[in-house]
Amino acid sequence: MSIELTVNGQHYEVQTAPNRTLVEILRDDLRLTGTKEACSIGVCGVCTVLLDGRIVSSCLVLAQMADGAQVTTIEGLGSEDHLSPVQQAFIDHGGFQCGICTPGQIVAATALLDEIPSPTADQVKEWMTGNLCRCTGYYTIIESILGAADAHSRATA
Amino acid sequence: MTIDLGVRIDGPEKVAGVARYAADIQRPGMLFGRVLRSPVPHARIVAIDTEAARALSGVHAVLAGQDLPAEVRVGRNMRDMPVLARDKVRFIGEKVVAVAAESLEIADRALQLVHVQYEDLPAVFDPREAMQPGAPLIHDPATIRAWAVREQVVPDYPNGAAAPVWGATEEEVRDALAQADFVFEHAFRTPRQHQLYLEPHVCIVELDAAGVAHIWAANKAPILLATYLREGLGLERHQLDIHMLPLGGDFGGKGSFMDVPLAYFLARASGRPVKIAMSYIEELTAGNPRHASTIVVQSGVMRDGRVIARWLRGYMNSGAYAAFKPSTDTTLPGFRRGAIGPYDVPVQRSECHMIYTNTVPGGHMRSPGEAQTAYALECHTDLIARAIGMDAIAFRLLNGSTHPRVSETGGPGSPPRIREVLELASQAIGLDRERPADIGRGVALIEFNTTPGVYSAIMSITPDGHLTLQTPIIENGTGSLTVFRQIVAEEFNVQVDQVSVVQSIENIEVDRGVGGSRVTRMVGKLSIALAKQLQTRLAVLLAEEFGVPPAALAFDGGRFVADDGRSWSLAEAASLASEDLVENMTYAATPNDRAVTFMAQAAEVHVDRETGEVKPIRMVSVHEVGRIVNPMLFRTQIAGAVMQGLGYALMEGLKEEEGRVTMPNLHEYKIPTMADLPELEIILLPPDLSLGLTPIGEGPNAGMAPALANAVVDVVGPHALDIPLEPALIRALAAP
Repeated sequence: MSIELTVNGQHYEVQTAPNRTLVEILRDDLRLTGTKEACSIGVCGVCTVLLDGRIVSSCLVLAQMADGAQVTTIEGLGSEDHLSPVQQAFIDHGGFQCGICTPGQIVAATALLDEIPSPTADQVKEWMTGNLCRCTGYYTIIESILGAADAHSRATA
Repeated sequence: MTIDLGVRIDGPEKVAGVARYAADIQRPGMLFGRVLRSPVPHARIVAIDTEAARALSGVHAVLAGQDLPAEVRVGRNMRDMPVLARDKVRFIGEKVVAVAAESLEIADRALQLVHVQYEDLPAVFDPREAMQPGAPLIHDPATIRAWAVREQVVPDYPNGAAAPVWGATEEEVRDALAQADFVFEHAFRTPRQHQLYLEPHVCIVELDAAGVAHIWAANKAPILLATYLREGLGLERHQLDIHMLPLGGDFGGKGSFMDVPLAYFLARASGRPVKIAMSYIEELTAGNPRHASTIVVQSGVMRDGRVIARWLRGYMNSGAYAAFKPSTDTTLPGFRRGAIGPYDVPVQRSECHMIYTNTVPGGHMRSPGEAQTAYALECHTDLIARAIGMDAIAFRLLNGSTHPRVSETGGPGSPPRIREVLELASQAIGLDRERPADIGRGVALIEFNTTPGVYSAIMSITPDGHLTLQTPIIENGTGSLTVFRQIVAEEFNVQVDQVSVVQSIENIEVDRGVGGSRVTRMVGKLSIALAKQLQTRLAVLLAEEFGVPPAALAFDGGRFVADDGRSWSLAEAASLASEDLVENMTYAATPNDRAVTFMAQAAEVHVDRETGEVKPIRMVSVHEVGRIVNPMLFRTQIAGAVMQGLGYALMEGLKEEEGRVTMPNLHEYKIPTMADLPELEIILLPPDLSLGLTPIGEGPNAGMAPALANAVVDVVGPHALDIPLEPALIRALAAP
């Protein structure tokens, strides 16, 4: 089948078998490998992307469900030279170690701060529960997200 | 001048999602490898029919065990594992047939066309049953002895892979136990735990026209990987080109070669690059998890609380092969340390029985051997204290090690700070404070030692003063590269942007790689020594140019200073060279390089008496430290390790029935999430610089599981608890 989708503002037309998933299309067809895949069943959160503004596990999104969608991946949030505030906060607060869960964490955290600009630690924990991390023990991820929220509120104050 | 030395080298690329991991690599013409795994735990392979699979369009290679050279077996140390099962399968999940095809879909379809006929053999799953006379033999005993490595003690009982014994003889320990006022014996079972790196094993092998294998793999030690491939496949070093990639998590499990040998044979058979990526189902059912164990520990105790004798026996489930264990005696490197613990017991005997069963082969996971034994020993210690009516801290202090350490230079070092770490942990968790009946508090004491290793590095300086450290160390997430850069920058008193860290195995013959919490300590030491050598060479250049005796030049504060007051910058000195100055060094650790540090961990839990659920509320981790290079990375190592210890105690048991893993996905196998996060207080003692660069990766995951179990015992009463703590059991014990 043929689907059309917009990823990070760029329009794509993709020929794909209908049983392929969005994470496969992103990684293998569009070569956007910032989105990672681990559990393949929507538990670990490393494949988190925004689909029409909503957080999804891209391993659970079949090609057809992505047809006509607007997708935002980690590559759409910032670049190495122009990091987004959340990306910068993950560096400043040590919110990553191996980095494999980090794109998913940052996409999910970005969506959180869009929804709740100044979350409490408990709100961060609740929102981010679907993003596993095995390296950090999570504490510095929470600090990163709260730090990004602080930086944002200072900037807009 | 402000130097932000600690900023991570790999920060921007990782947060921007552009860091390239092995799974992100695609090669022109690359095929996808998939494997058919054994559905039965122990069987003779009667026939394999691959004809239909071979005929399928898009399939470029189909291999079974018979298609590979009979002598090929692989292993990190003991080479007992065939690349594909040959004649027999020994565990559910063993690789039997492999396919390389143009897409994953075609590869999977091809595997469905393969027919394997098995003739079941009696199987055995429990190590203590497997070692009994008459148990089914998984390997021919003669071949086990033939495969055994030099340091390996192969026992006489059935299915024994290795059984080293340390300390007293059986007779001596029996006699000593007989002298005690009380003898306590407890048995603890610990589960298989998966490393749960979120990057499953993946590798790509591409052979070029010259016969060189180009390898991209989620593997943490390239020089060791080259060694395994040389020894296992008969390749030469110049035939191996191993690329350095970041790892998406390691925790010990990425030391295994996993599918690299198979990808090599598929690439050879197909003439195309082949990628094999494990799914998470394959990881959980056929990875290389932490060994499950049963630890039986007996202690002879006097009325005053002194432990006079101890006999610890560990029965470790090796799984069907020993190939994933790199330790020289084919057991687990932390076993002995954990069995002795931070205690001085006059007569003690430790036995590590590593026994083959028809289950998934175990590998290394953070604190291999120590997580199991420390769990048993620290729970046992608390149970004894309770039984003799002694305070848990006082009992540990009475028996705690008092011998001064040996310093790095071989002289007397500092005494163990057991009292300080224990008392701080006790105060921070409130061990003596009143508590409601369903709140429990517990503590554990850990002595962590690093094991030695050989490391190599190359340091160079350009004529314009730019420094480069070449290292074969993989960045597995801990921030090693950042720490190396910091150390070099500090040695030369330059900004970190004047230092590059280059990862390459070129011109490096030996290197132990990431592991054992050794890297900061050993590569740090190597980097400091290389810096001194380069500084000496630069001083010689200055001496020649300016007529100063080299001995009259000192490198101080980033400048070469002569005793007559003249001084030159690093760049001025480097500019005297016409080309790069290069220093190459290999350093083999001596016993004095071993780091010995003590830590205490404590936990507070809530036990729900109706459901049996244990909820961690607070955790404390108290550490002796030496020189810390990067405090943020250091603390994050502790936090990550503590959470793995929490998972080990409360939820992470990779269950199986009759050799079949019954938790084959991350719905079933749970690790801690943010929702499980208790408060964590990390307390570092004032630095003791005589300890040198202190390791931190492994120790803190060994103590948290027993601290949590001891906190549960505080509520439910004195029982030897198996982990993970099952709510049904806790409910039964906690019932009013």
